[in-house]
Amino acid sequence: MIEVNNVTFRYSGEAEEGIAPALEEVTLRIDEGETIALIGHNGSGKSTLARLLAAIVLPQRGSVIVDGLRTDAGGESLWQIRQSVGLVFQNPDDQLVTNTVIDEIAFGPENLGLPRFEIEERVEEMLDLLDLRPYARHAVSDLSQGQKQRLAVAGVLAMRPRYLILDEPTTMIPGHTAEQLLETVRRLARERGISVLHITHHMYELADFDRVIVMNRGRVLLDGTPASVLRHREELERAGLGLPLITQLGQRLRARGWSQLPEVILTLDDLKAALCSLK
Amino acid sequence: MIEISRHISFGQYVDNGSRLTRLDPRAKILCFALAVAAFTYISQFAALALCLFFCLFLQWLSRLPLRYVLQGMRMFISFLVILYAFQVLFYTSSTQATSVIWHWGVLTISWEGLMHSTQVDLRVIFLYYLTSLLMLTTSLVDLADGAEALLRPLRRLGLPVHELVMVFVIALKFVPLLITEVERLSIAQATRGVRFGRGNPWQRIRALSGIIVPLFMSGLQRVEMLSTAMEARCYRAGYRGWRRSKLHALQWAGADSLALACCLLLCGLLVALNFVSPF
Repeated sequence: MIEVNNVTFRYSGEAEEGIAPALEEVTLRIDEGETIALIGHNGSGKSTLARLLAAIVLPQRGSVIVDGLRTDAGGESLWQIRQSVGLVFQNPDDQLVTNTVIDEIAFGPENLGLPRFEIEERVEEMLDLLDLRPYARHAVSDLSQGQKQRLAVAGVLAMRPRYLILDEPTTMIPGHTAEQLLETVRRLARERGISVLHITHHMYELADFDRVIVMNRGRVLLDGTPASVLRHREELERAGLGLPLITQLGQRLRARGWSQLPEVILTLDDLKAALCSLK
Repeated sequence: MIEISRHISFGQYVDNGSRLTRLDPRAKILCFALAVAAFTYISQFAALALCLFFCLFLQWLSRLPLRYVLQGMRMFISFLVILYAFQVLFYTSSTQATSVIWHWGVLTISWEGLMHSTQVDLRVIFLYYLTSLLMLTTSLVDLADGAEALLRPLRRLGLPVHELVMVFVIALKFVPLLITEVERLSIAQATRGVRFGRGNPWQRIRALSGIIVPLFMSGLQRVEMLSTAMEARCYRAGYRGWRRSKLHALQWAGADSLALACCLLLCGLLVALNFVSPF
């Protein structure tokens, strides 16, 4: 379990310039096996929260506790936290360290000082899990952007984290590739009990997550199931977020007299099912 | 300017399972260092001809398409041709005993100038070829492991060998990335009407500043992101008591000893030939 208790974080120099903190009085809890979508406008504090959870930056007020270990405790516990909280960034080119697929997957396990046979085992496992087997001997520079992002996820998962944070991993890859990546990650979360925190600004990606957290100006604005969050249309719009197109369509149909339709429709399949049930 | 990556293969790695690729990186680095020392020392055409044969032999061993390697050197050679012109035109002899072929103002083409510039530039081309080939046939991780193993004795003097090697390796990794970035920036500037390679020198420099300044900025941002990503994956440079394990064990085989012996023999031959040959 990750606990974020009353966390306030400000980047250095921002106080003098009168800029509001990146995060202010944030409190939340992430349970094991939960899949969460964290959504917010640019500058809402999403990425800062991701870095706090992975102990890359430390809170100035409040605390972040990962499986009983405080991120600001220092020493060996910092590395234990970084091992159990895996972080995947937006641009794969910024996070891939080596230049071959196998070496990249092995980089994290090597840092953990694991014996060779175990590193080999994890590399083999990740090649299959993320469908990277055909590219095993390829140079990283020969991969497409989507393949690179899968490799970045494989490199992080090879460290066997309990929590996986994806910081806008779908921004730089085409729609269908992004969908496949998210589906793979959700499947892994289900099969292995890994908690997933997916940071995004695409509202249509929320539907398949257990929980949605909406951030605005460094604070948690809404927190609940996708359906319960999407009921707060006005608050979302004030935070610069529009409803997904399919939800908007459902609401327009309701406004035109189809009042038996549910208030919030998340997917096209939901809409089809709802329309069919009307007959 | 816009399609630079096609003309630079520096920093790329091709895993084609050739004999050169399979050699132990320590052997490759030692052979490379010996060859660089010998190539730098020689100054006679006969020795340069032997260098050419050696490079052709390496090319055959590497099983890389010659066209691919030459295409990768095209931009460098174009740059060298310009330098060559300057070297020839402004050559000043130390002996004053030059046979002038053409003279106009401060510009002179002399027989000595032509010979000397050709020798220097051929050496530079051979050295660039050796460096490219080392990187085309050795993955970054192998290169780092090999260099680290060879430099290990320096750790006793308190030098942070692992960290220094990692800095070097990451600098190499950034070469193709920065080339892609230059390409992207060139296209962005060209679409805004910036014309490279036109106008007087001042206008040309101004056009280039539109690439160089953002290139530096994005380079620094990438470095910061990469160091964050590495730390998030438990890379603990400079952390006391931290030991990385390795996926690949370095194994010195008979072929490595043979390669080193051949290289030593060649270097001896080159120096001897340079000494006895009149040209």
